[in-house]
Amino acid sequence: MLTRLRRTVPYMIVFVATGVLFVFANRITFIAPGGRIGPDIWPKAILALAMLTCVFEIVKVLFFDESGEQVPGVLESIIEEAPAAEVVASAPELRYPHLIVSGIVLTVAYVVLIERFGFFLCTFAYLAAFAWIGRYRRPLVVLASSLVGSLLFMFVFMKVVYVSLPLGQEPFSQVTFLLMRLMGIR
Amino acid sequence: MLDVALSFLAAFHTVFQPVNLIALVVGLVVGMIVAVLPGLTLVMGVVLALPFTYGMAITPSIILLTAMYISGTYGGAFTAILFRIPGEPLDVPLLWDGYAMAHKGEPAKALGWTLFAAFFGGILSTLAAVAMAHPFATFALKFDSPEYFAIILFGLTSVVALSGASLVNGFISLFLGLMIACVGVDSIYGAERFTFGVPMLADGIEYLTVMVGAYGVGEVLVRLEQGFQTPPVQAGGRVATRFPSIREVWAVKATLARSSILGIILGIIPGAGATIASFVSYGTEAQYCKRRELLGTGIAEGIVAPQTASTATVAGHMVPLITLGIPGSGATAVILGAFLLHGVQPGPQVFVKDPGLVYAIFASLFVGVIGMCLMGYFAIKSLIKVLYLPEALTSAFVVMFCFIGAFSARNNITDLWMIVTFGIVGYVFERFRFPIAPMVLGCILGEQAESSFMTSMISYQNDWTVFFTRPISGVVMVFVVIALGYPLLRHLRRKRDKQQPATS
Repeated sequence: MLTRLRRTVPYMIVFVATGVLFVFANRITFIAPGGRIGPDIWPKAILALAMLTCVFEIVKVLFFDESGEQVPGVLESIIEEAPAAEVVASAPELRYPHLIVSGIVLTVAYVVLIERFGFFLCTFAYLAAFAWIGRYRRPLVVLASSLVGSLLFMFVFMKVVYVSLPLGQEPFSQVTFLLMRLMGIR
Repeated sequence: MLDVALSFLAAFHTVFQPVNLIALVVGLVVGMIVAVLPGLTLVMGVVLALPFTYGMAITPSIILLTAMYISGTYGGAFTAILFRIPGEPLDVPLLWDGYAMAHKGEPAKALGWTLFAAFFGGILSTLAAVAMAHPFATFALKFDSPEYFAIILFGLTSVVALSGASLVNGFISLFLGLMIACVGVDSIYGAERFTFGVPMLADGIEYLTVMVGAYGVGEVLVRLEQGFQTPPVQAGGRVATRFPSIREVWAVKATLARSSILGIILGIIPGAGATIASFVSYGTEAQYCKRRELLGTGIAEGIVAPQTASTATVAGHMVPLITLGIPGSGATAVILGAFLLHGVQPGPQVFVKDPGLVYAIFASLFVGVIGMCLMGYFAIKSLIKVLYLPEALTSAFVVMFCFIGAFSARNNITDLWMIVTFGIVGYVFERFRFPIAPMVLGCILGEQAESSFMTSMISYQNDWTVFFTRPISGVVMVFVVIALGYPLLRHLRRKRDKQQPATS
């Protein structure tokens, strides 16, 4: 039963989330001529369908489904039937949870810090750190490619494509300004 | 028909203009590199190229993206045949006969068959698409809002029904996408919906951030969790291509015909993309090919069928995209995004307003197929060297392209947060086997679906039966029911077949 309950967790989360959104959908304010449906109907219909789908799956998993088998899309069933499935399935699927946590933390940190440190410094650090987290252990290659990559990004997008990338705050913006002067970016 | 042929021929002049030709060549090269690299998917490649099209005119933008798309269906064949690494899921069937033929000491011949199949499927499907598009568009001019709603509904449900490990998960993904499209100020009443007091949300959630986040950052996170385990590349010998003789080609004529037709049809049906076509055509050969008992041992039919069909789907996909504005796959959803970013809504009106653009796209597909094959013949030796790039490094650069793409769109840090959020959503979806494509398509088509629905309701006094009683929309709604019922029936039949041997 515990395994079955665990399988229902994603659907319960979606059910609760859609339920909360349904409450918000009830608070949509609008003025519609008499007899016309309002702008709340469409999102409510979608939310109701999502909730029904979740209830269906939760009930199915808890009371009727011993094998945990899902009704697959046609592609999935074709792939399952095909002999090539053996080839695909033979690939080992190892997982490294610490890598994904580090990767997400690093990516969030990039977004938090980019306005303070500026595009160049943040991107250089991000590229190097990401490659390192991704288990690539050749420091010189990592540093060189991160440096060249971030300079190249800056040159192409600021000088050629005219994208306004974050400059950073003092004193870090001085690094950006120096590089911009060297690259002839105004 | 003569008008169509003349317009198509005239469009070659547009394609050969320098800027369009450069876009085509760049698209072919990048598409092929993306297809060769196992960590990058075809859709991810097209998504990453989208921000570069902001500053371009619409014609080179669409040419760039479609060129990437078509060469993406071909590039992965090389790594599948030579190194047993499928660059894309659609290349998996090539592991059998393609790799087997190479393993028997005939890699050049296997590559020659792939090249010929891609060429044949690509050219034939482009010509078929040109012939079909105009009648399709003329027919679509009769559509009113109920028909549009029915067709969008069919597109969305068939994407759910055809792909993914679970129908339920597919629907949840679709509903999430449709809800994302609801965020912001609604177009009919001007009412704020799900903005939670955040001013940025009043403009709605940019579907670009959803696409880039889910397909770009999300896929990178999935690969990161797996530790970027690219299978080691064994040092190969000489990479060469040897064309099949006319007699050999004549011997597989039935396979070529079957696979091309299948590819075109499956391309037109929303949701059934190159991967389905590749598997289905291989399965068809397993049933109807004269030498079916030899399939899997390295015969030409096993290479020709999946490659012809997968390349043929590209032109097929362009028909509903251009004539109805319905994308049938992740890649065509991105191409639709490019149309919309340039202020062009694909649909039957495009044929009236800008036929030059439509035929230029088809002409670029035609030239693209030829260019892709030339590239495959002459430059593949250099291109497959990208396999030696460390995946951790290329992935870091992919994330950076995603972020810069967000800056290019609105130059707002909130879009970066959106990309990270949808990147994590994409990762969670992959992890728990929720398909991403329905969410992305729901997000892009949600607004159009809602406005067609609301307009129909307002025009027909809230009579929902209008979707079933009007002839065209009624027929399409029957297809919706079939699209929903078929996977269920197929599942029940397979379950019964599994149980029967056990009970007997």
